[in-house]
Amino acid sequence: MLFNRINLFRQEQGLSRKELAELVAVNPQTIGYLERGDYRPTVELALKLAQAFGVSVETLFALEPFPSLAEQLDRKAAKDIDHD
Amino acid sequence: MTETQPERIFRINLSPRTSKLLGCYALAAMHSWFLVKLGLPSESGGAELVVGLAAITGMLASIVFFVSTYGVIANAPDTALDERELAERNRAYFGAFKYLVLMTVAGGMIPELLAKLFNFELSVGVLKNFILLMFTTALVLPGFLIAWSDREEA
Repeated sequence: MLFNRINLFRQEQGLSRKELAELVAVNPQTIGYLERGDYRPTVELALKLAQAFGVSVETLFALEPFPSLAEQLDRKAAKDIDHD
Repeated sequence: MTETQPERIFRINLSPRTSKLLGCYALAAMHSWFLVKLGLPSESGGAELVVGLAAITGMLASIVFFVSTYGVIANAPDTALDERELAERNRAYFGAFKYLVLMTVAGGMIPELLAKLFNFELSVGVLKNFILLMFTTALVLPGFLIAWSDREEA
């Protein structure tokens, strides 16, 4: 299973599916398939997507589910408490 | 690349739902025409007219499907499709190939064998009909399978 944060990064950067599709030279429908996890991209497309968002491939794709925002905030808070 | 270039390739734009319906009709009409005609005694007036109509409308539907969205995607040059579309097309052609092989065995070789076993002759008319059925199926099936694997975006 391959997990991705394409939808998150796309929305954060204020891009429509069509705009992102144009950046990576695919059909806008393919972006929808990728976001839903219905299609696993080739290495080339994964690299193009990571490049379009200005992040590493590992930031965008993972073999394990990404932690939720609440989990991440909890971890950060726990770390901050440890440092104090 | 992105979408098939509409300005260079003539096509009738159909939604996935309409394409599925049209493809279903084309395949069902042609298959039922062949099967009914196979068991129909010659010159049986009304029934002959009904299957004849099914064949004509089935052929027309096949041609319309072939020049519509999914028929064009199934035959578009590789450069006009992205990697997902190419993968889907490969799957659709493989599915169509398997069906046509099965059809050749079931419709071509088995009757031949039965004819030899039970000592009767297959008429040229039946074989012509079978070839026409194979042709229209090959025309429609790859695009039809692509249409079924496609999702309508919200």
